[in-house]
Amino acid sequence: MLKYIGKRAMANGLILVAISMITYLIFWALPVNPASISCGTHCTPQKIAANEHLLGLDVPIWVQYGRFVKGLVVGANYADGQVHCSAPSLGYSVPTNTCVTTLLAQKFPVTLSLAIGAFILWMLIGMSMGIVAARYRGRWPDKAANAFVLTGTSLPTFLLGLLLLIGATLAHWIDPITQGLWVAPWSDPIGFFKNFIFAWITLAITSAAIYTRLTRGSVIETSSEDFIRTARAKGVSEWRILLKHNLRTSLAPIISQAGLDFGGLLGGAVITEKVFNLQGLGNVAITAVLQTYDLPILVGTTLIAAAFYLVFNLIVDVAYSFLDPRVRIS
Amino acid sequence: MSRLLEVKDLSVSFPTDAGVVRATQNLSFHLDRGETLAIVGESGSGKSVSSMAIMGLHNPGRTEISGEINLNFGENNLEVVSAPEEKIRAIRGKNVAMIFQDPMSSLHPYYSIGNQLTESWLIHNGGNLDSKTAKAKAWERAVEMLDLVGIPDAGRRVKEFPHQFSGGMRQRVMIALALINGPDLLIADEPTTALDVTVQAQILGLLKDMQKEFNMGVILITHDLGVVAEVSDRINVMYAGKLVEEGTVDDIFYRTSHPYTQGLLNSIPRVDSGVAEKLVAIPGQPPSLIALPKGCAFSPRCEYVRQVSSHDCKVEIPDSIEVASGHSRKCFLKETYLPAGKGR
Repeated sequence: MLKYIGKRAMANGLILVAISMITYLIFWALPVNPASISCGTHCTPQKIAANEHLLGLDVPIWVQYGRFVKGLVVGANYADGQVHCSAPSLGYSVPTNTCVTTLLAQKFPVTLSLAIGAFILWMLIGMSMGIVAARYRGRWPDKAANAFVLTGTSLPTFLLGLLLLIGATLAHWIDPITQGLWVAPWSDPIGFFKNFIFAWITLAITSAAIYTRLTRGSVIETSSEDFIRTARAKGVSEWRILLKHNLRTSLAPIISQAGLDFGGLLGGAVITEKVFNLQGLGNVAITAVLQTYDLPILVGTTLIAAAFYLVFNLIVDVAYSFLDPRVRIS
Repeated sequence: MSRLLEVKDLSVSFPTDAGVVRATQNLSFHLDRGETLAIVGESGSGKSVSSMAIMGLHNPGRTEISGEINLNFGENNLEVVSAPEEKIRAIRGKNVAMIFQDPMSSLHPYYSIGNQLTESWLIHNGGNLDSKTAKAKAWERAVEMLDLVGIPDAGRRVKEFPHQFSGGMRQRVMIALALINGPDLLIADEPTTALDVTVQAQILGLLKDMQKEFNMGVILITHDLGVVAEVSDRINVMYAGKLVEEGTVDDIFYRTSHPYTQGLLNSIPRVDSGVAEKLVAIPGQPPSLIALPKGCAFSPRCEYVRQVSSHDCKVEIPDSIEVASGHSRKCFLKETYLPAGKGR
C-alpha cells in the first residue's frame, strides 16, 4: 500500500513539473509585456528595461524557469537582490510586494473555508435528495428532485451569487462594506458564518444538483444487482437495503467525483470569491491574470490548484480500497 | 393437515408500453413438507416469475397479480397475494428462503460472508441488531451453517469475502444463507446452472441432505431435466406461462403425455443408448408473452396438431385433463401417452 502511494506521489510530482513548465510557456507566448504595464504614462524604453530587470524577465525563459526551480528548493533573492524569499519559494510578486508563498498561505484559509463549507452542504443535500429520489423513483419526491436538478444545473453561479448577495444585503443579513473581510472562525464564529454562508449556498446549489443526479443514477443502477435481490429475499427492510447494501456500492462513482471536485475547489472558486469579495486564491489569481500580469502568482496558484487536484485523486483511489475488498492493495 | 404451499389460479402480468406481458396464467399447484417439486420449462416460461410471486418479491407498482398463494407453517399462515409487505417480509428468509442461479453476483461483494449470514439470522431472531450477545450468537450460528454445508475450516473462512471463494463454494454459502433460519420452504432457482458439471452433483446432493435435515418443501426451478430426474418427486412442465403437464417423475419421463414435454425429453443427449444419435430440437421459438398465439400456445410448434380432429388447436385452448391420478396435461390429443421420442 505504501509502495503504491509512493509510486503515485512520484508520478504526481512529474505532472506538477510539467504543469509549471507549461504555465511558463503560455505566459511567455502572451503578446503582453508585464514590464510595460507598471511603466505608467511617461514610459521610456529605459524604464521598461529597468522593470524587466526588476521582474527578472531580462534573461531567457529557461533561465527564468531554472531560477524558479532553485527558489522552490533553496529559496532565492528577487528584485535585484532587494528581497529574499525562503524555500519553498514560488517566486516574488512585484505588484503586491510579497513573496508568493507567503501571499498564498495568507489567502488559503479563505479558500479552504469556502471549499469545506460548500462541500459539506452540497454532499448532504445532493446525496440525501438522490437517495430519496431513487427510493421513490417515479413518484413525487423523484419529480421534485428532478425539478431541483434542472434548476440547479441551469442556474449560473454568478447570477445566483449576485441574487443572494443583493437579497441578503437588502434584508440586512450582511453588511456589504465588511463582507468578505477575513475573520477567523475561532475569533468570531458568527461573523465568519455570515461571511461565508451565502457563498456556500451559491457554490453548493449547482453541485448539489449534479450530485443528486449522480447519486440517484448510481443507486438505481445498483438496485438491479443480484445481491440486492438476495438481501430482499433475506427479509431485509427496504431502507436498510438502500442504506447498507445499496449505498456502499453506489458510493464509488460519487466518491471519485467528490474527491476531484473538492480538490479542484481548493485551487480557488473564482466567480464566487469575486462576487462575495472573499480574498481567496481565486480572487488573487483573477487579479494576477486580468490586471497585473503577475507571473509568479499565476504559476503559484496554478501549481497549488493542480497539486490539490492530484492529491485528492490519490486519496480517492486509496479510499476505494477501503470501500471494496476486491481492490484492496496488499 | 393443510398443505405447506397451495397456489390457486395465480396470474402475474406486467403492463409495459408495448403491451401486457402475461408471465404466468392461471397457475395452480401445491407442495408438502419433505417433497421436491421441479418446475421445468424454457426461458421465459414463467418459472422464476411464479417463484418470485411466492416470495412476494414482485414490484407492486409494476405488476398485476391475481389468485391465491397460501403458505401454511403450522402456527402462522399467510396468503401472500393479499398480505401487507411487512407480513411477507417477516416470513421471507425465515419460513421461505430462496437460492439463486448465479452465486457470483448474488452475494454482496463488499461484505464478509459472516456479515451477510449473521444479518439474515439477526433480522429474524436477534431483536436488537446491535446487541453484542445477539451478534456473538449469530456468528456462532453462521460458522455452524458453513460447517453444515460442507465448507472446510468454516471458523476462518467466515471472515472472508465472496471473491475469495470458488463458484461451488459460493453456492454452498448461498445455501447456508438461505437455510440459516431453518426455513419450511426453499425455492431453488436454477441452483446449478452457473456451476461446473462436477460441482453440480455435489450441490444437488447437498440440497437433498439439507431437505432431510430441515424437513423442507423444495421447489426446484430448472431447465435441466437431468437435474430434475435426480432429485425431484413431482414435475410441473411450464410453457408460455401455463402449466402444460404435471405428474410424478415417472409420469413425466416414462408416461409422457404432452407434446411439449416429449420435445423437451427428445432434446436431451443420452449416454445409455449405445449409438450416437441426433438430438431432436423443438422447431421454432417460444411465443412472445405480449402476443400469445390464439388457441394452444404450443400449437405453432406442435407436430401433433394435424392429428387432432376433435378440436382446432389453433383456435381453442385446451383445459387441464387428468390422464391418471396426479398426472394431468393440457392437450386435445386422443392418445393418452406419447411414444418416448424417436430413436429411443
